[in-house]
Order: sequence, then C-alpha cells, then structure tokens
Amino acid sequence: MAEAGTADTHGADAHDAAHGHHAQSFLSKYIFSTDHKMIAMQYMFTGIVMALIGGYMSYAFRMQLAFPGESVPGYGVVSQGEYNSLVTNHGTIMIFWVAMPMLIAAFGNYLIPLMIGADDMVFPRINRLSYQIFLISAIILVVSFFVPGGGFGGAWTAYPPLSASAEYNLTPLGATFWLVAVALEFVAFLLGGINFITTLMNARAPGMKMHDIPMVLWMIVIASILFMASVGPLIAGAVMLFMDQVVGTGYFDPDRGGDPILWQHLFWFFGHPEVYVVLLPAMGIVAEIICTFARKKLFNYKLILYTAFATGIISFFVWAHHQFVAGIDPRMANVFTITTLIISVPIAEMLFLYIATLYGGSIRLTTPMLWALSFIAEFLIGGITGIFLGASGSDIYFHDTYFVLAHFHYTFFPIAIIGFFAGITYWFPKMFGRMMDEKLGKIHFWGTIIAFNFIFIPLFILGAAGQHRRIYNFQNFPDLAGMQDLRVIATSALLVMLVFQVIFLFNFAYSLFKGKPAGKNPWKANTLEWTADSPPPHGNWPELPNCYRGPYEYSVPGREDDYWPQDVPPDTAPAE
Amino acid sequence: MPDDALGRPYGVPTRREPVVPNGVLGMLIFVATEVMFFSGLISAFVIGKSNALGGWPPPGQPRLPVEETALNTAALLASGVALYFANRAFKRDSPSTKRLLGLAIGLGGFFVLFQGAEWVALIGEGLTITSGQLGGYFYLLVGTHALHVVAGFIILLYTYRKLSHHDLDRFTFWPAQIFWYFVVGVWPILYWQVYL
Amino acid sequence: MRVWIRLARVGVALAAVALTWAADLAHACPSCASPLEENRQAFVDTTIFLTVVPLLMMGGFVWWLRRKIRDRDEPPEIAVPQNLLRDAGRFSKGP
Repeated sequence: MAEAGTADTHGADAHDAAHGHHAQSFLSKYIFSTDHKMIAMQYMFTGIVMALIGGYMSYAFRMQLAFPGESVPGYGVVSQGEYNSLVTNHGTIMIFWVAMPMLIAAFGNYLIPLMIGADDMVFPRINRLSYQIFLISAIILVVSFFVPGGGFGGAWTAYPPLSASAEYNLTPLGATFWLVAVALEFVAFLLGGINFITTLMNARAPGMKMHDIPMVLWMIVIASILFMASVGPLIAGAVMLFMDQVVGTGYFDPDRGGDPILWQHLFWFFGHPEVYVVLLPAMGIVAEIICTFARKKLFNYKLILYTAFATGIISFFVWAHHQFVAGIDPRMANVFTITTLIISVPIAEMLFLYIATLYGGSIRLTTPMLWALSFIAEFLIGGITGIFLGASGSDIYFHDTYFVLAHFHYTFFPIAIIGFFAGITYWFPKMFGRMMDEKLGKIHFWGTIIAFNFIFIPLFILGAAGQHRRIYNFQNFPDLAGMQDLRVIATSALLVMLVFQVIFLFNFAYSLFKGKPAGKNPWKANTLEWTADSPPPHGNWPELPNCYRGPYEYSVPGREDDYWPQDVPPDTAPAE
Repeated sequence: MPDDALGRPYGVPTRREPVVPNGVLGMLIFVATEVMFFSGLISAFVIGKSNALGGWPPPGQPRLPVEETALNTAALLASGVALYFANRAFKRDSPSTKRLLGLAIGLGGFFVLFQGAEWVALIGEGLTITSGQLGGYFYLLVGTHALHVVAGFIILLYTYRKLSHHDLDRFTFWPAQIFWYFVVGVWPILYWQVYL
Repeated sequence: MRVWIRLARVGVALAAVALTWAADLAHACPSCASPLEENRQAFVDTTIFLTVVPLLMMGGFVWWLRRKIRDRDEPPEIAVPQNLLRDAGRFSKGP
C-alpha cells in the first residue's frame, strides 16, 4: 500500500534511469523486467500455457463422457473424484487464468502505453508485482493437483457447504490451495487495474482527448473499473471461506447458524460483472480490427463508448439471475429477470454498430478479420441463448443443464479464444516484428470455428432434453443414457479442434523466427502503436509522439492514402 | 486554420498536467476497492445476523464493550482530525506539521493497543473466532479493520520519517492521507453495525 | 404535449417494474420459503446496498473530476511549466 502512494515519485526516478540503452542481464530483461511489453509477454505466455492445461483437462473429461469408464489415451482412467476436479479446474483456469490474463492483462499492458503514446505504465514496479503475484497464483493452482487428496472438485463456483468442509469435498488441501490461488489472482489483477486506469487517465500523448482514445483501450479500462468495483465482496467471501476451511469458523455452515446462500450472494456479485470484464476487451479488439480491415471509420464512436458504459452500469444489476433456483426472494427474481433482459440491449446495440461499420467498407478478409467477424457471429448465438436463461421462469427448467453450459461456452469461447486469436494475429507483427503465415492462419481459423460449433450445438440439444451438467457417467441414468451419439460427436469435434491448435502453435513458433519482416505498419492502421518500431524498443519511441486526430480516420475523402495516422501533423494534408 | 472532424483546432499540442496526480488516483482506486471489500463484509454480517434464531446478539455469549470502544472510536476520529490539520499546516510549511502528524500517529497507535487489550479481555471471557457467529463475525470485521489500521499506521510513520528528513512532498503525503481517512471513516460504520 | 406522452411512457414502464414487487412465494418452489422473514429482507437490503455503493462511488468520482476539470484556471492546451512536467509523473521524459 505504501508502494501505491509513493511509486509515482520514487519508482519514476529509478525507472527513468533504466531507460537508457545499456545492456540488461537476462534476469532483469526477462524475469524482473518493469517494461510493460515484457510483462505483457509474460502474461500472454503464462496464459497460453494455462490454456493448454485447461484444454488438456477438457480432453480428459470429454473422453470420459463419450466413452465412459475406458482408459483415456494420455491420461488413463478418469475416476469420479478426478472427473470433478478436472471439470472444476477447467472452468477456473479458463476464466481466471486464460481469459483474464490474455485479454485484459496481456493486451492491456501491451497496448495501453503504446496506443496512448507513453513510454511505460505509470506504476511500472506495481505492474511487475502484479505479474509476480499472478505467476505465484498459477503455480499454486497447478500444484493443487498433486497434493494429497487431489485438486478441488466442487465446481468453479465453489458453493459451500461442499467447498467449506473437507468432510464433504474430500480434498482438504486441494480446496484451500484453489481458494488461495483464486484470491491471489484477484490481488494481481487489482494491482494491474489500478495501473491501467491511472495510465489511461494521466499519461496520454499531448493532444489525445477523450474521444481520440482507441476503443480497445476504453473497453479495457471500463472492464478494469468494473473489476475493481465488483471484486471486493468476493475477496471478503473468499476470506470467510478460507476461515471456514482452515480455522474452523462456520460462516457458511447451516449447522452452526451460518448461511450457504451468502456465498452465492458474494460470489455472483463479482461473478456476473466478471463476464463483462472479459467481454468488453474482446469487443474492443474486434472494433480495432474491423475498422482497419473495412477501411472505415468506427460507426458512431461516442455511441459505442456510452453503450459500453451503460453495459458496465447495468452489469451491477443482473447478478442475482444466477440464483433463481437457490431460493432467493421471488420479488428479487422478478426484478433481476427484467434487468437481465435489459442488458442484452446495449450489447446488441454494439453488435449492430459493428455491422454498420462493416457496411459499405472495402473489406479485406485477413486472418484477424476472419476472427473478428466470427466473434460477432458466434457471440450472437451465445447472447440469444442467454435470453432463455435470464427469464426466471424458463431458467428453472434450464438451470444446471448442458443448455447453460453450451450457452456460456458460446459466450466465453468467442470472448477468450476468438478474441485472443483475433488480437494476437492482428498485433503479432507489432509484438515480434514478423508477419504470421496467412495460409496456416486461415486453415487454423476454419478448423477451429467449424469444430467449435460441432462441439456445442449437440450440447444445446442435450441440455434442452434435460441432461444435467455435473454427472460423471450418463449410462447410470436410464433417462439420459440415450443420445450417446451426440456426446460422441461433441467429443470428436473437440479432438479435431485440439489438433487444429497445433497448427496455431506451429505457425506462432515458425513466424517468430522465420516470418516475413513486418515493418512498422503492415496493416496501414492509424493508431499510435503502429508508429513505433516492430518490436518496439525499451521506452517505445526515441521521442514520444503527439496526437492530432481520432483513431479511425480511414478513407478520408480528398486524401491520397486511405488512412491517416494519429501522429501525422495536419499540415501534410492536402488543401481542401 | 481548418478544424478536424471533432471540431478541434489544429495546432501543436503540449503535454498537460494530469487533473489528479498518479499516486492520488491510484490510491483512490485502491480505496474504492477496499470500500467494496468492507461493503461485502458488512453485507455478510447483516445476513449472518438475520439468521440468528435466538435474536442478536446471541444469548449466552459475552457482551461487547460498547462504552470503552466509544472512547476508542473518539480517539481514532481525533486522529483523523489531527491529520487534517497536519495537512493544512503542511501546506503553509508550518513547523506544527510535525507535532500534528505525530499526534495523529500517536492516536492511531493508541487505537490499536486499546483494541488489542479489548481482544485479550474478550478471549478471556470465552469469545473466540470459532465460538459462534458473534465471535466469528466480530473478529473478522474488527480484525480486518485492525490490519488496515496497522497498515495505515506504517504508512503514516513513513511520511513522518520523510518529513523529518525534509523530503516529504504532497504527492506522497496526499495518498497517505486518503488511506488514513478511509481507515478512520469506515470505523464508525463498523462500530455502529457490530457493537451497537 | 410530446413531453407528457414521454412521461406517461416512463410512468407505465416504472409501474410495470413496481408490479414485479407484488410477486409472492411460488408454491412450486420448495426452497423459497425461508422461515425467517428477516433473512429474506436482509438479502434484499444487502443486494440494494452492494449494487448502489459502487455506482455511487463511480458517480461521485466522475462528479468530483468534472468539477476539478472545470475549476482549472488554465485552458488545457497551453504549455506546462517545467516544474509541473516533472511532477506530472512517470510518463514525462523530464526536462
């Protein structure tokens, strides 16, 4: 805390001295770096590793569901307890250790200083601390699999009393490790969020006004604000759950006067804004990409911005829709049904504005553009299926079925995976100075998207037929034992999708060393990061740029070029 | 001179002074998160209280020392006021800054020690964190606040040391004050909720 | 006249929202009937409390910021003295 107050005076001097072009040792360059680009890379690679772990988990438990009881190649027989902890940790990892670090921390750290024309974050040492805490949390989570009793298996929402008492969950150490890891991860993003908001407000290039900020930065910062405002109650709940597990208090234990619903109350207060915390950055990345490749101005910048703010505000009113069957007051259920249906309005509005941006543009279907377009299409399916779950009446039927599961995978997959692929294929030339291979990129795109739909459309059908989420072996339930074909289709599609990721990893590694050199501005985009060298050196620019106009001045009539970078002084414009 | 699409006149822009200094803004955001953290704790306490079948406070449990803590509350509030006047003196570069800051720190320290003594007495009476909902929530809420008081106490000591070495600037002093005002300000709410 | 129509529409919307508060326990919902009315009320109260606090904080901060920006005596686009540039924090390259 002392750090937060003093880093701007002390950290500043210490860090400025490091901006010279002296050689750095390996440790200070790659491990203890305070450079925002290096921290972004650290977040990104940690996120990729965690995504591979999460993907491997989904492989193991999907195989168990399709071929129950058989030995899974590369894993072995999945026991009941292992199945629970695989499912639990798949969810936890994909949301907290993949979506959050890759979309907010990696792109936020990389893009915020570069896009606003600053040489670094305002609190570089807090930034480093943020990553270090994040890394520790990731290690704790992975270690929790190998402690006696195995990893935590009480679902990623960790409802007590199952999560609070080792008598019920049978993972005394795993549950505590899981909880500590999650709490540390929140602390890491809390520190990161302070940095993002302060940097965007205070370190903008001269001349960059509120409405000259690229949309992706607004989205990341709005997401950070949402995160900061919603995470407190969950940390409070996590402290209480930790006390229940370790000290032996009974905050959530009904036998001792506690209240298990209280945890849901605190958890979902954070849990639903969290969806928008990861959604908004993905929306921002898509906005940048469609403007660049449609060569058009973002349709109604201000309306998109206000819509994002509205989404943020409404997202504080919707969270109790996760508890429609938990015994909440029916009056509250009614109110939350209405607010939940209302929040689809701003999101739909944003998608319409993106489509309006595309309308009449000269669209180039590059790999990032394909990912951005598929984001709009796939997220739309996720959004529409959410309507059924937001209405408290139909939710009573759909609750905890595969319909819910398919719904949130149709939202989180576009957000975390498609959003990440869109961003990485778009900014890869800036990050590493080389182009990614377009042909491999397109093969990877089509394989992933088609397989993705083949995984989750069968699950919608299964869920609508009443298949419950948390079941180890459907063959034990006569009502659910049929339709095994659909489960096999979903699992086979998952295998195909995982195989296609190998193409991405190959493309990534190959392009890193052998790709075509990119130059400063391969996509002919306007925003400030494209005026730095690729990859940008320590300190980003020899001389920090000025900003003269908004970020989306594409195809301006009367100009020879169809783009107009933000840092070009206006006197180079032709006379009107 | 032509205008661009947003109606801004062309010219060579210059760097502006931030409206809110970095450290202050960072601390404000941090404190906002802390406010939400305490809101979560207080909400949990309200719900926990409402579950008590035999009324609140639960029968057969030790009573919390309301009057003594009222005195302690006054000490903490006085510490906040002293810090406020220390800041005013600091702006005037007055030598009384040091005395007032010392007073604020001293009162903060008194609060922590007094509360420690109170805890020892309560544990002696059999109120522990595992003895029931009252004990659980009491130590959770008051203990979390006590940790924040200790953190704020250390931050104030740090500013005091800098003041003694004559290199305290308002970009260090201001965030430290924000944190201490938060610690002071949240206590009456906890006192009202937990003790009364 | 237009205004009245608009106000009437808002009124109808608000009335519809207010009606939702008239809902009572569904007999089909076995878990809804908490024996303690205080407990139900506590959940409603804390829901409102938790939702309002962050919005108030954000609103208050924006209001305070707007006032601060408005009260700045200098127009935003003028040159900044060197001492302020140093104080401005991390991003400044310094003089």
